[in-house]
Amino acid sequence: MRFTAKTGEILKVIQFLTSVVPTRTTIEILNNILFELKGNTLRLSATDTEIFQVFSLEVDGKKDGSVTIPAKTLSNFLREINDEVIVFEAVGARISLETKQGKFQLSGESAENFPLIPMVEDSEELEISYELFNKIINKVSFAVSNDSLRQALRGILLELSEKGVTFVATDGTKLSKYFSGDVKFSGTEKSVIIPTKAFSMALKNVEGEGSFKLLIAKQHFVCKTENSELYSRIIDDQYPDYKRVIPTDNDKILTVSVSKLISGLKRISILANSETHQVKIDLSENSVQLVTENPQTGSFGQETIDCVYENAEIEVGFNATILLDTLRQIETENVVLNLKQPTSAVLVLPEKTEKSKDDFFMIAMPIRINS
Amino acid sequence: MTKIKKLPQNLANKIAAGEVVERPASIIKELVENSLDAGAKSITVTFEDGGKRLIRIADDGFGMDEEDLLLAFERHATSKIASVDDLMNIQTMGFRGEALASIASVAKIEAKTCLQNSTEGVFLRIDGGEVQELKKVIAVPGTTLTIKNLFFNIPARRKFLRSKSAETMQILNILKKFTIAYPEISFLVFDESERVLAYKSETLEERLQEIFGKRTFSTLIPIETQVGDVKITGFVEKPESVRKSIGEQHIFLNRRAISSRLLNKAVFSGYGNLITKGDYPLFALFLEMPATEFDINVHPAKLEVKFSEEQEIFNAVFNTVRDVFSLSFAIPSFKETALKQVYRPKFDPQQITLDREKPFVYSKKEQKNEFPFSVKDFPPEELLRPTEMIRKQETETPKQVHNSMSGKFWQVHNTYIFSQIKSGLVVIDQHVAHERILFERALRSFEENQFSSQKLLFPQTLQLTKEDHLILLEIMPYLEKIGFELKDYGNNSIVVEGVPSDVRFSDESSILVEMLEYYKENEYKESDVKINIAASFACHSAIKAGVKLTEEEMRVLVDELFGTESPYFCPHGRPIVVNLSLVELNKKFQRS
Ligand SMILES: Nc1ncnc2c1ncn2[C@@H]1O[C@H](COP(=O)(O)OP(=O)(O)OP(=O)(O)O)[C@@H](O)[C@H]1O
Ligand SMILES: [Mg+2]
Repeated sequence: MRFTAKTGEILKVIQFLTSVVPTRTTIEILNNILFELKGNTLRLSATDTEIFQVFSLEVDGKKDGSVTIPAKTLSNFLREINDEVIVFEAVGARISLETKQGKFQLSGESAENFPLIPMVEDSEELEISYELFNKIINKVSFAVSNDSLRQALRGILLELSEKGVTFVATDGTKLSKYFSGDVKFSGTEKSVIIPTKAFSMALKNVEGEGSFKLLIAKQHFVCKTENSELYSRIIDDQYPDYKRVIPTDNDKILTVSVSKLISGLKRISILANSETHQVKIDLSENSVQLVTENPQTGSFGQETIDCVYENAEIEVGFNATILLDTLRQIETENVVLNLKQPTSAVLVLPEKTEKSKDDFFMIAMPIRINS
Repeated sequence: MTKIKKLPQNLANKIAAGEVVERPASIIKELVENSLDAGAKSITVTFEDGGKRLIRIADDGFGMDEEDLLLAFERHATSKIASVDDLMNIQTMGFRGEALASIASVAKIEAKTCLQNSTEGVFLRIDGGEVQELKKVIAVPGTTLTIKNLFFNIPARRKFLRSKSAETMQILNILKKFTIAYPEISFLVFDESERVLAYKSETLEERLQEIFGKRTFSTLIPIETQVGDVKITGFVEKPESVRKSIGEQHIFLNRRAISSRLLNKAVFSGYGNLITKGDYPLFALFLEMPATEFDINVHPAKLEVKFSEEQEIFNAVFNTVRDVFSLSFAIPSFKETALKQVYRPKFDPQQITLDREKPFVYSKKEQKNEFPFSVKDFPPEELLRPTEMIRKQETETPKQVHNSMSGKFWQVHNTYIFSQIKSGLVVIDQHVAHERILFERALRSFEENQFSSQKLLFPQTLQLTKEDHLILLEIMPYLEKIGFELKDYGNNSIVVEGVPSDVRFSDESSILVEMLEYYKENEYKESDVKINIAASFACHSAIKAGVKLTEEEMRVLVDELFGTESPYFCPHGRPIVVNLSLVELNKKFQRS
């Protein structure tokens, strides 16, 4: 393999691919980036076995071939190169780099052992605008679990239908659900669970594009642009029956300024127990009272916020972190909380406005405080 | 069948002497063995109040005539051996001729027995060792023995019996061994009027599925070898699916459940490094060999065995297990290993005791070396060194150490936290530190009734065995005080609706299973239930080694640690903090 490329261009691609390279792996070759040259097209790939990312680059090709090169060494090295162009040559696994400054050698590994690009058959298309995609992913991915042993909870559920697409994420203490009719899908109705990382990589792939397509196959999720391809495994697990736990008869309705509630909670939670972050929310006529008490340290906090509330008085305990996580996703001025009982699921919704046609809500699970 | 005869004195003297009637479970063991010796095809066991009020065993075996029935309750009266030679070649479960006599002396007995092909049987009632009633009755072939009011005449021993659920568990444990060893015999078990077991399989495969469920059964690998006179068959758990199944290591010798440290060790060693120290794989191993090759007459309970060729038996078992795993299917699949690493601690803190000094609150008493990987496998010097180091520094109190911390923390290998203090630096083990915090927190919750419980969006159902369900119900009030919200859904299932809000769980239901196993293992060593529960909660809920912490999380952890009563030692006595003094460092670098 031999080619000449612009240092800056190739460095950018390597840095992009580095975010796929696993930080810790027992499979040596995954630390490397696969180089494949055919004519003037150089394909660079990286994978952590869950995600497979390919990037194509136009170079001045001299001799076709392929090799893998350690990602970290290569990107560190290229960052220190001041020359505009660089010549890559690989003989076996020996890699020579040449710039005006000098000649450098490092050893790579044969391309043979690099995982193969996933085979994707029978995929169906999903079309979405970058702006909407970015918004939805941000609004749901906070609820994904990072450490659950249940694989399903580590991904985002997509329910695809002709009417639109629903995105759901939950870690068992909070849930976020976003339905949009502006996501176009014309295949057969189905649900898939996609790893969060695949979505964040996809966002990077399509950054700056207006509208783009995502492919859903039986076992893979694929995102292709003009010069990049992203493949991700679909999580093969049963998603919990979330519809069953969505409260339908929460009859106590609180409407309150999001920013006031957030800043109040932040203040109060500093004084709360540093492990449980527990705060109590007392609702009475047009008033929200936030209370925290920590007998261990002797700290105490209480603050009252104006609101609209006309139902029976109720006191609900929360882990402030969980409630704050949901409140931060609200873009309207006010947030609406629907409650029922002190320890039943609470719906967190943006205020209804005329132009919002998407259906977005969250659930926060309270804590029972015994003291 | 042979008639019952009194054993001659010289033979009676050769039989291991001692009491076999300790508790309801031991009575059940003796009676089931008698039914097996009588060729029963189906055995029904009923017990009330953990066997303290009533035990009834009904079999369809060959029965006894009137003469034998009366003799059966005499000391040293048996139909199973007649000479010293027989004693060297025992083919039956019983041979001492002692069991019924012992039972008759401590309880009220009713016996009804009828020979095969007959409809007339005999009924006998014995009270305090005296025959009270003997009559002919209409009956079906087989024998039914009813034991009432155990130890009614010995209040001191009656007091020694444990709670109903503890005795029930013991009974179920004993019965489990029989149901595994005799898959072709059907067992029906009633706890009062509730039917708790109904096994009617024919093969070992089917029986194991009945007992452990299909899922667990699918993690078992069959084994079968013949080495000389010794035949080994059974099932062992795949190393990658091993969960801590304490108490599920079953070894049978000619279908008799035995407890053998030697053979346990052989199995564990056969797994080699495929399992970690502290793993307890499930296995059911059947050894068959001529009765002349071993001696079961070591102890009256017939649990211990002396083999004439100890080393050979060890090797046979060891090689059999090892060979099974050298086949390719034992290689764990990618997904499973990734999952297991998340929640499996590198090694089990329980394995460690420091016996030279005992500076800790909670220590395990009399660690029995039942299993091969024990205290001895850990170099105790390595553990003692840090302890001594802290001892030397005793001039600095924990409070002073804490106050002089620089406020900056570094995490090393996602396991240890480093911080500078006035006299040098401290290294803190994050897992044991958190364990100490949670341990004291749990004990406090029991006293102060202050806790909070994070409600779960998706309540988790836990399907338990009968025994585990009983234990869980017993300790449920404590678990609730820690912050678990549990509901009993009957049918041995529990629903987890909430979890303590100060810990993050990656799997809400497996944490309870792990805690239960820990609890069971320590139940007999740790008499204080609260301490046992608090320790099991702390051990399984504490952040594991290998988890990355932010600086803020480290700060909170360290602050809380130094707020505990005993910040230097975890509930198991492992050191939490190691102090590296400047003096020591200077010495190391030869700086004076
Ligand atoms: N269920 C039964 N059916 C038929 N015969 C029985 C039954 N139970 C006991 N017997 C007879 O009564 C005798 C005495 O039983 P016991 O359990 O006291 O002694 P054992 O079984 O001979 O020896 P061990 O004390 O070791 O159990 C037995 O040898 C057997 O002949
Ligand atoms: Mg007997």
